Amino acid sequence: MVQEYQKLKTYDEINEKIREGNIKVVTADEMVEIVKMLGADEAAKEIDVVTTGTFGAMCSSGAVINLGHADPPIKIARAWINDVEVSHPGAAVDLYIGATQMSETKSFEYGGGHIIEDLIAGKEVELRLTAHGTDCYPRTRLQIEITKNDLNQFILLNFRNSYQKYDAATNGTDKTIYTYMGKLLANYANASFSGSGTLSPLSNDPDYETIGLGTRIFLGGTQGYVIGEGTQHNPKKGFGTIMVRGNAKKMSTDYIRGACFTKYGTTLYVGIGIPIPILNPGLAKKTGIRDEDIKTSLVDFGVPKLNRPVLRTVNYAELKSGKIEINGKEVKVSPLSSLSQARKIAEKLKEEIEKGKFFLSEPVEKLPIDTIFSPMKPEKEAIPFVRQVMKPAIMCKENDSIMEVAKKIVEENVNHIVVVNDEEKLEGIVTSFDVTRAVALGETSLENIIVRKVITANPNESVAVVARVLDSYNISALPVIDHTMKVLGIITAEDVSRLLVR
Amino acid sequence: MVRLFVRFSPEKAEEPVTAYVIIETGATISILNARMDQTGGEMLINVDPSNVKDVIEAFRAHGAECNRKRGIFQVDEDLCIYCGGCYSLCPVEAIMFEPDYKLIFFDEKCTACKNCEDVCPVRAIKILT
Repeated sequence: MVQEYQKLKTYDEINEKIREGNIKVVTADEMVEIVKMLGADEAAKEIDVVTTGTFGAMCSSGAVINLGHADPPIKIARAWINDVEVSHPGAAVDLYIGATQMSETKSFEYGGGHIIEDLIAGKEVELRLTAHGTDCYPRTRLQIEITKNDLNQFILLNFRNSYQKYDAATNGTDKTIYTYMGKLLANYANASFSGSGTLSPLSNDPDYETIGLGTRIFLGGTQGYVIGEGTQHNPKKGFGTIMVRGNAKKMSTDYIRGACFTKYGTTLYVGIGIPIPILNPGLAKKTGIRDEDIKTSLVDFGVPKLNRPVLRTVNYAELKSGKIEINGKEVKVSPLSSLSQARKIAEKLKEEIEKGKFFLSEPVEKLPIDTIFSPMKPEKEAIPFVRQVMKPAIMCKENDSIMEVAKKIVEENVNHIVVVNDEEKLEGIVTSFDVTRAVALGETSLENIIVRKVITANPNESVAVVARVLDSYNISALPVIDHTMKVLGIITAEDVSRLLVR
Repeated sequence: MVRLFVRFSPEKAEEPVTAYVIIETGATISILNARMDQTGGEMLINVDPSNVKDVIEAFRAHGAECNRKRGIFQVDEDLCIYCGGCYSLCPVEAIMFEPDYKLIFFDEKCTACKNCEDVCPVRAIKILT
């Protein structure tokens, strides 16, 4: 429940002060100290506006462009800019450049985000169009070099930006992984987080008293607007998001940058700053929030599931210190959002307001505080778990002979023999190929051909995960083991592929 | 510590050149990074300033190239957005945050592990060896 405070100021009064040049603006960083010193009641009287800022990779971003009509005209079916396919959501000549769409020739290194940056920078890009051809739109092909000056409209239109906060990431597997949270080293050797903590726009107004449809904001170096809640807006869990738009022709590459996350894909870094009017002492208190007060979960991204295990709760003061503790060990943590840029944006917005160039707007409709965000409806034929697909493993002991193993391979008609100790705990694996090669090379000892570094599966993981593991290690079977290394069965590439033809 | 770069030909690959140099000079050598392939071997080492001259001469006497190394770690600061994606991947203190959250890069500490190179979302980092 949001506590009701008596209103001290109105939007009109604040804007009047901006016009007169006697507005008192501070950044969210500065507000922490002010509230600590004066208390919320006094701070609310002293301070009129608190500015926030964030500069992070925001994948659900993009731009709408209108090309104008060619002569003779074309009704676009498919379109590419610099070999990146851009979607054609509307009538003849409107296109949407999605930030995460990747180039067909440079894939991970260039994508929609880079096109947006290049256009803002005034660079020429190559536009390629195809169409079916109709009586009213006869053209079927068109190729042309364009800049932003050739576009009627170039509007940044991001459907999910500026997460209130976000999970911090680490990786407990024995392999480095590349994620949208950056490169995560094996065995919890580093971590990453996103968001600017005390400067984060939505963290400074967590009940969305002043943010909603029509809120004027700093967006990419110019003035833009919040146009409602973002997709996946999840207020009850403190994961609010916003949808924004702004005129990209006026934006600057200081605040909009194309980016690529290795082996994940392309995206767009977006600079956003939201001014929070201090209408009442409650807002002074909320904008006085410290990094210590903003908490998030440290999550193991090594587990490729929707619900990843949470290691512990961390706060932004720990995260911003550069080092956090994981399982008793201190490791470095990368911000991913630029904290230096976030601060620059909050400062820049403050300056614009002080100079009378930026006025605050009251939202027509505030962001919802009670909506729920749910996972996708389960598929009718859900992907099964390993325990449902695995088969009994054919096993042998380390001191068995190669001949015995060869016999088992033939009798049981399998390609993989799992080597176990007396307690049926995993020791290694031998394939029919290993046995064939041993025979060809005159090798007689089984011990010398056992593969001891074995990639395994656990019974409760999805077969989709197993398929990816088999593919990435280029192997054909995984022994299934429990947490004590006891062998429960085996899952082979054949078992996995059989699921597809069922 | 002074950072030296050692190169040797494939013919030298099986000779314990580094061991000879250590024995002959008595210098403590810290190997920061080493690799070997069919074109030969490369090694980045740290030595105490007092041993630099002796170590260079000893490597050369055993037929390896050995020189002081600078300019391994190159960051295009016009491209850098100070996101710090690279920071947590550095095994030493070659990438540090300043109090204003700008990053500062120390070439002389870089071990050329290249961990940070592919993590930079704006491709501002080049590691040259």
